[in-house]
Amino acid sequence: MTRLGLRSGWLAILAACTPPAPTDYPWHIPADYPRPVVPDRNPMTAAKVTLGRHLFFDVRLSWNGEQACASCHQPEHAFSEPRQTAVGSTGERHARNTLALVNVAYSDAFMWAHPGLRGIEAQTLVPLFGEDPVELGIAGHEREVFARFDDDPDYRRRLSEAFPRADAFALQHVVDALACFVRSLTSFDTPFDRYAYAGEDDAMDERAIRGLNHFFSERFECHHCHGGLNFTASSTHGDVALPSTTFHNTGLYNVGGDNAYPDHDQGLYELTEQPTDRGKFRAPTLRNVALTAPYMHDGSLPDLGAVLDFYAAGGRNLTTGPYAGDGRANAYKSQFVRGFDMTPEERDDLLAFLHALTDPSFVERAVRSRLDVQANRHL
Amino acid sequence: MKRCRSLSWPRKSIVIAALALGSQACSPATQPVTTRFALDPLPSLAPTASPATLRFYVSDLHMVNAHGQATPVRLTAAPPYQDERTALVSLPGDDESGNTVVHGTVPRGDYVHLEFLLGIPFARNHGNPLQAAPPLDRPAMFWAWQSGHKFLRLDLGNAWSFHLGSTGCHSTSAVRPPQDECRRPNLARIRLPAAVATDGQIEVDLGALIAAVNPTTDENCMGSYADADTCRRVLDALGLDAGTGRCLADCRGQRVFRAARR
Ligand code: HEC
Ligand code: HEC
Repeated sequence: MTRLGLRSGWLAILAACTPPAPTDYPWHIPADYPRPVVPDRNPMTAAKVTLGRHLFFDVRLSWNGEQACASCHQPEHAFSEPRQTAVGSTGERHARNTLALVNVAYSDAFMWAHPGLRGIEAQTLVPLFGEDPVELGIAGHEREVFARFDDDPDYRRRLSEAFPRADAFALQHVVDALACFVRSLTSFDTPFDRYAYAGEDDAMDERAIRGLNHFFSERFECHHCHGGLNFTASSTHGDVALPSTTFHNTGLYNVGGDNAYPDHDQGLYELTEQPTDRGKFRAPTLRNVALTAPYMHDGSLPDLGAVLDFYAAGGRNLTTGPYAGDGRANAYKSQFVRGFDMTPEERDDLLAFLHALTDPSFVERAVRSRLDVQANRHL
Repeated sequence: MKRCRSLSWPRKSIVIAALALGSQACSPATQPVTTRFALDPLPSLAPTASPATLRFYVSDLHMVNAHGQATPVRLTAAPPYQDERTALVSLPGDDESGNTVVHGTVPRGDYVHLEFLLGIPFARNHGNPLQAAPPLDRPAMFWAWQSGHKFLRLDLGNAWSFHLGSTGCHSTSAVRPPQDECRRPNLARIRLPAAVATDGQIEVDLGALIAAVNPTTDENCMGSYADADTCRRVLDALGLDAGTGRCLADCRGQRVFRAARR
């Protein structure tokens, strides 16, 4: 028993030395749902989320004052945008479609294909500093950009509420606050959640329930890649430390019959340079997907009907243009994208199901939070 | 935990080794059980069929004595890979993180066999996925509330996959749990000499599992196993009858898990 006694004594000392635990952040997550894992270094607080929200909507966070995070990540579209691919503050076109920001707190992999990024904090540096392409473009101008906030009394107040020991804005504050805001964007109030997890049998109509059954069937195979709480395999919760990240080539391209994707974006291959990683992307969450058109990493499918037809065909055969080639025959295509016969009724069922993943209260909160911020702005 | 860094999957074999390690978790009345997995050589595969990644659940471990009496092995709660009843074994071919060891304790005794279920028993297999705790919370190892968890998942690159789980599970939709046991549980009970729990190890012979498969041309085996001859033969290698979803002759004819010397 000496050993036990010693151990608890040691714990008591530890407890005495640790700063007080941050107040429990009031997550917008139903009580019986798992909570996301938050890094110890950047615990959630309401003050940091508030500061992050103001920064997120503020164009002064870009060097030329033209663009905010929210210029691309628009509240109405579940923080994605209707453009095919993003355009940065200097007008430079991005190769990729703007990702929605929905339950990112649960992600263990970020972007369309970036296995190296661990955590939202690291992720946030990309839009701030990225030079290829330029997004907010503050690289080399951090001091001037942060000084804009130091000179604003409202921001100074929010800074001291969020980081009581800080006396001026530094990169760490901006990144931590933005990360807290992004983590706070949780969305679970959908007809699907009420049907599946609250047991409300009439929360989804019969069409949507049939669509749900198709979605989880071996014939349609969607759930193999869009599984779990967030309909993506790159999502974890609780104390799970196992990354289950997977990237897939879905057969969108086969440029020149060479198993290639367009040169400017070959997905995971850009980072790994493994030929077998060509065309591999992360399966994004399907929560709120009805609001996030156009689809796929390059926004090349205009609507959900087109996405379903694409999977039914087992990939995309482009017969003309610079990227012509039969994606269905791409050698690196996942074995889960094999095509299937789909009746018009089944297509409607699947569409109804995908629409049942929309959370109107999430969008309402998002739009309201932008109004709050604009009402408070003294530009 | 020590891992064999030099072993490059898929050219190796899985070995389960049960060894007696000194551990403060064990009182004199119990003996530790540490079960290690490694891979048997696979025939060389097409580039699109590699790397191979294999994950499976192991539940309900027992040591069996000469009179046929089975004594449960109590697994050590060690998230994220195992709780007291079930462990996840994970052998990813393309990264080093994985889990090759299952560990627990059993009352001291003279045992002749080690037994385990490949998968998760019905009573645990269809719990509310929101409340799933490690190791049952892996989206990649879960189908849906109705059909439950994948017991074993083998992916050969992007060419061919085998996902084993219960089929014929009935409920009003994919997100409602079945009230009655699934028609085809597909739970193999694997029995091996107890020596593997002391100084031996268990090889998992992937070559035997996929002997009937041509990964570049055959359809995946992910549900309707009885419909395709190759899938029937894959289940047969595990001792399972694809038609009934149950062990043939107590699964004693399984050819995948095998006792070996360390
Ligand atoms: C120019 C448009 C643009 C701006 C401005 C922008 N983003 Fe993004 N964002 C994108 C695009 C495009 C992606 C996907 C990039 C990729 O996959 O390479 C993305 C991805 C993300 C992701 C990853 C989401 C996920 O699910 O992995 C997060 C988080 C994010 N942005 C947050 C921010 C924050 C915070 C800001 C402001 C500091 C910001 N973004 C500014 C376009 C933009
Ligand atoms: C092999 C794994 C896989 C399967 C199976 C799969 N998906 Fe996907 N899904 C992905 C990946 C990867 C992407 C992104 C691909 C890209 O951008 O190149 C994606 C993208 C999508 C998108 C667009 C999301 C967005 O925000 O742009 C929708 C919608 C979608 N899938 C629905 C489905 C449906 C419905 C099914 C079943 C018919 C299905 N998926 C089957 C992996 C898969």
